[in-house]
Amino acid sequence: MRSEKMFIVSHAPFWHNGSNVAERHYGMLLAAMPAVALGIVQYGLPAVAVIAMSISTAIFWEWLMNRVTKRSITVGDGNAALLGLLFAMLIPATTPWWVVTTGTFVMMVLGKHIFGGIGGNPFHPVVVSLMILTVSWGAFFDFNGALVNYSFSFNALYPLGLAKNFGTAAVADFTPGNLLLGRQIGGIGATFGLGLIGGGAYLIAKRYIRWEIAVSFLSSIFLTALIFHLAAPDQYAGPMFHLLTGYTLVGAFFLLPEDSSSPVNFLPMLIYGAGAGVMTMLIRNIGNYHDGVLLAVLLMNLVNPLLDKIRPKALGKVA
Amino acid sequence: MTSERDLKLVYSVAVILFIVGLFCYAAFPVKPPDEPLRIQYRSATGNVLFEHAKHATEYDVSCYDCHHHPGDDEAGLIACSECHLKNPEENAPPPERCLDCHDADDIEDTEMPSQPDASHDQCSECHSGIGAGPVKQACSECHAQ
Repeated sequence: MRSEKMFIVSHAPFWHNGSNVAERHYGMLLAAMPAVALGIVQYGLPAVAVIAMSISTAIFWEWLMNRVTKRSITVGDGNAALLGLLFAMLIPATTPWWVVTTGTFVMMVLGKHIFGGIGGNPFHPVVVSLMILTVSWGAFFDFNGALVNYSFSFNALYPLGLAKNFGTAAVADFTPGNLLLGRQIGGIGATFGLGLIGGGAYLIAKRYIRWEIAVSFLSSIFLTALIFHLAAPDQYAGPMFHLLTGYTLVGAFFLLPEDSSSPVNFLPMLIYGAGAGVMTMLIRNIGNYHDGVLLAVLLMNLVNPLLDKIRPKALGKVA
Repeated sequence: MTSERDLKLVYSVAVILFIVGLFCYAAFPVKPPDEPLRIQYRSATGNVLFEHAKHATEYDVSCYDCHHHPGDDEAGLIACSECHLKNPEENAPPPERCLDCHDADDIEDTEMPSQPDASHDQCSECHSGIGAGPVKQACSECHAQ
């Protein structure tokens, strides 16, 4: 006998709990602040220039696309500002203004609005833009070349490049402690391990992102890197090194769990994160690029609709 | 939906950030130091990152070991690429920098090695001599992909 009370829902009016899209985006902006702050300390006012230009132009392109497509103005939801900040976090502090402006244009127009705006993009807009720009003007995003005029108190060579070209011995300076404190070169907001982990924990605690994706991605990176390292310890750096270098932590907390390009069900989320981790390590250790996170994110974004086909069994049946 | 007040706030923040960005780009560009810290030689076979400051301060080498011409004048410490061009054209006149000291007629028959040739000779000769660092057994010791 079917229970009559099982699937009863009440009708309106409902009580809204107060959370909204804008709050979520501003929360994510807040979570990114510690990592961005260290980037500004490390790279100075040129980093401020890149961040300010990136956020302001991202907001401008969003506003312009709203006007062109005759939709309501959405710059107030914080998404454009968040994407602008994320874009700045991934690039060197020496990136010229016109590259930043072109990047935010590609990000907002080709990455987001061409698919109908927020919630419609199949790929992470920041990753789409950065990959297009890397293919077009790779020299600006080569951290070794871009940061030659900076003096640091630590080894100023890009750790993933060193590991790929010269093996484990070359990255002995990059201990987990140093990497957690951001003692490595990289994107403005992508090097401060502690800051990114703190920001990620905040995002998970506030349920702005799904822990399943971040945890499965990081676990997958750890395990895959460990297998490579155990197979050839001199050639492949260890798992802690790969967890704390490149875009790993930004990818785990800010890129992979993006709403519309990531799965919503439990098992798909685990597969999505784990797949990105394996791909990242394959690209880093066997592929041509120093860092594989961006390409792995793009690939898993592509697989996302298929993964979401894995659904829980529907309750009940059609009579 | 965003209220008019919130929209105005976002517009104001965007304009302020844009002005800050422009100001910082114009007023605080990353200037190369007088003495290079690191020099990246871009190459199709893999870029070479030369740690200039480390060679100058941490290793027991004189500036004149590399900056060989003229060899006794600190003002003569000019960048390698000012004389050794990366892609010199065949039968091209000598680089302009050479004409600061030489008459064009005096050096018209001088064969100037290209920057890659000069660097290969200079780096490998020195490294082989002291038996330290990359000693050109494999390109990948210097050229990183």
